[in-house]
Amino acid sequence: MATSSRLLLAALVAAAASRAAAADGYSASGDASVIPLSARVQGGEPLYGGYDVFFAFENPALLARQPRKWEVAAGDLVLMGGDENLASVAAAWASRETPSGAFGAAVMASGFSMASFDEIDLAGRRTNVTVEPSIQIFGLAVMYQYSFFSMGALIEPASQSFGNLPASVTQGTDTQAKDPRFALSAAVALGRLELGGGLDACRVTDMRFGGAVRFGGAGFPAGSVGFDATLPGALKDMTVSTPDSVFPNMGSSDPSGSGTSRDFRGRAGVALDVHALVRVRAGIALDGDQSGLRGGFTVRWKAWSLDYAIGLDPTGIIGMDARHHVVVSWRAGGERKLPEGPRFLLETKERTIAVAGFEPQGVSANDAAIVSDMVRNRLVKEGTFSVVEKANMDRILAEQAFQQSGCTTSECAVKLGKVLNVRYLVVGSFGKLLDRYVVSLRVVDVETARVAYSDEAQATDVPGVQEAVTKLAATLTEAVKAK
Amino acid sequence: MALLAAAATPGLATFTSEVRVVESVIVPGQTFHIDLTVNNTGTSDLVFGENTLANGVTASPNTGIDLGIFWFNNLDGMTVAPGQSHTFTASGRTDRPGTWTISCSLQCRDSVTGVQTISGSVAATVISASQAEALHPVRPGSIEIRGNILRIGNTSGYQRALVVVRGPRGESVQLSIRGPSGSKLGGLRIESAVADGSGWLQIGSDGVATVAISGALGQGELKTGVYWVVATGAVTDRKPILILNGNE
Repeated sequence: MATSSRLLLAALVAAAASRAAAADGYSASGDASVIPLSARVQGGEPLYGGYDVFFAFENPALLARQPRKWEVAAGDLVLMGGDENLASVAAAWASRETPSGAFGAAVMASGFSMASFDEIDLAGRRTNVTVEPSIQIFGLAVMYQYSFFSMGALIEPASQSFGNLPASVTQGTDTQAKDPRFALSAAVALGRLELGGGLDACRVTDMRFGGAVRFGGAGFPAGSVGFDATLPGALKDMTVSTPDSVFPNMGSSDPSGSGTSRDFRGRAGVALDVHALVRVRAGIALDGDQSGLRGGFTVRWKAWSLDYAIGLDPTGIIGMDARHHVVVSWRAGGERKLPEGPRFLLETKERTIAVAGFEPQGVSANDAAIVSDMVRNRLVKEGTFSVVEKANMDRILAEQAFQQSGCTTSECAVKLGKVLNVRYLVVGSFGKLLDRYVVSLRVVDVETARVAYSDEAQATDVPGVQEAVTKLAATLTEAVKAK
Repeated sequence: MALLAAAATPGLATFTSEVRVVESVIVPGQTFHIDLTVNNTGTSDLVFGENTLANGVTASPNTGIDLGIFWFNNLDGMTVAPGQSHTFTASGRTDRPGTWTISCSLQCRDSVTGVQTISGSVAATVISASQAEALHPVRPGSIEIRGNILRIGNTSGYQRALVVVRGPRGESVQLSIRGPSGSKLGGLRIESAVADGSGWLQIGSDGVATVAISGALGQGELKTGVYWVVATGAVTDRKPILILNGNE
C-alpha cells in the first residue's frame, strides 16, 4: 500500500510540474485529438474499471487491462447533429506478465470529417469557394506493466485538409499542419480499487485522473462505479470588438483580453452486468454547457463485442445535444492475467480457495479423503488463503446436487469452483506406486479455467506423506500468491 | 467603381490605363483591392519597378483615419510589351464606413520617352456592416459569419470576420467559439459599451447585432483549422469558420 501510494504521489507531482511548465496559449489542433474515442467513455462508463482498445488512447497505461493478447476494434462516432463524423480503427497487443513485467503496444488510425460549407464574404455573398474539412489522426501507444502498476505513453500525430482551396485563399498558409498530441499516464490496481492519472498535452497540458471501484459477488451482479476528471491547462478567452462603435480597435494586432481558464471536466458513472453477455451503463458528464447524460451497453459474444453509446446534453446547444458511438471489437490470443494489486487488498473471493476430494489411485477412498483433509488443513495454517471448510463445501455441493467425486478435469474444477464461489480450486490424487505413496495436485484458476499451478511429492510412509503435504501446501501458496 | 485614365505619349510609346476597386461592396474590416490595368498601345516596352521609379496610393479627403492602403508590390523588372496589358494590384483595408477618393500613381520608363507617370483615381465607398446586412439579410433567428475564411498573422495584417446575429430586438445572445466536437475554447469576449465582456451581446433595435472576430485568443492566436461559432440565448445557432494562420 505504501509503495503504491508513493507511486501515485510521484505521478501526481510529475503531472503538476509538467503542467506548470506548459506553454501558454492553446492549440486548437488538439481538439480533434481529445474527442472521446472510446465508446465506453462516451457512454459514461468510468474510464477505469473497464477496457476496450480505444482506452489505450485515453490512458495508455490501461493497456495492462487488456484481457487477451490481441484486440482489434473499429468505431464510428457521430456528433454535432451529424455534421461531424469520426471513424477509427485500432489494434493492440499486450504480452503476458513475466518476471520482468509485461509490455503492450497499440496503433490507431482515425478519420474525422465535417460537413462542407461555402465561403461567405464580408458583404454576405457566397463565393465559389467551398471548404471541405477533414482531419487524419494516427496514434501509437506503448505500455509497461509490473505487477499491479502500469505506465504508458502515446503520441498522436495528425494532419488536416480543407478541400481544394485556391491559392488566392490560402495565400501560402500551411493548411495541413497540426500539432501532435502526447500523453503520459500511470495506473495502479489495488484490489477492487483502481486509480490512474497522467498528462495530456497538445501545447497546453491537461492533467487527468480517475478511479473506479468494482463490486459484485454474494448474489449481486458484477459492475463498477467510477469517475475521471480533467484539470485543463490555462486558456484565455477570445476577444472580439463591435464593429461600428470601436473600430479603431480593429487596427491593433492583438486585442488585450485577460480571459479565464477552461472549465473543469469530469465524468462519473456506473456499469452493471445485467446478463452474462450484456453490460449496461449510465453516467453524467460535467463539461460546462456540454454537461449531460451518458448511457450505453455492451454485448459480448465469444470473441466479439458490440458497444453502443449515446451522449445527451440537455442544455440544448443546437446540434450538440446527441452523440452516437458504435464500436465493434474482436479479441484473440491467450488470456492475460490482469493487474489486481497486493493480495491483502483483493476482494474475498480472490483470496478464497477450496480443496476438492482427492481421487484415490490404488488406495482406499478414505485414505485419499484424509490426504485432501491434510492439504486443506495445511493451507489454513499457511494463512494466505481463505479456505472453504469441508463441512460448508459438502453442504453447498449437496444443495446444488453437485457430484464432486472424480472431479479431476479442469472443466469440472471450474464448475465446482463456481458453485463454491472461489477463485482457486485444488484438485488432486493420492495413490500408491510399488512401495511409494504419490501425492499429486493441481490448482485451477476458476476465472480463467487455466491450471495456475501443479506439483507432486512422494513418500514411503505416513510421516513422509505428512511432510510431503506440508511442503506441497507451502510451495503452492507461494506460487499462486505470486500469480 | 472604375475610372478610365487615358494618356497619350509622344513618339512610339502610348498606353491606356484603368483603375478600379475590385469589390463591389466593402464593409469595415474587409481587405479590398485596387486594380490598375495598363495597356501598352505603343511600339516599345514599358518597364516598371526600377529603383528610380515611384508608385503609390493615396486617399482623400485625408481624415486621419488609417485606410491601410498599400503600394503596388512586385513591380521589379516588370515589362509590358507592345500590344500587351498587365494589371497591377494594390490592397487596402477600411476601418470605418464612408466614401473616399483613392488616387494611384505609377511610373514607368520606355526607350523613347523616358520616365512617364500613369495616374488615375477611383471612388471607394465603404458601407457599414448593418447596411451590408440589409443588402444580404441574415435569416431570422440565426447567425451568419461573414468572411468565414479568416486569414490571420499574414503580411497583409489582421483581418476580421463579422458575426451577424438576427433575432428578437433587445434580447441578448451569448457567443462562444468551439473546436471540432463542440469542445469549448472560450467565450467571445466582446469589447463594447453595451456588452459586459462575458460574451453576451445585445440585439439592436433593427433586430441585428454584429461583432468582429480577429482570430486572437488571449495573448495567442487560433491555429489553422475549422471552428464553430456558437450562439445561445435569444438565438440558438452555430456556424463554422475556417482560420488560416499565416504565422504557423
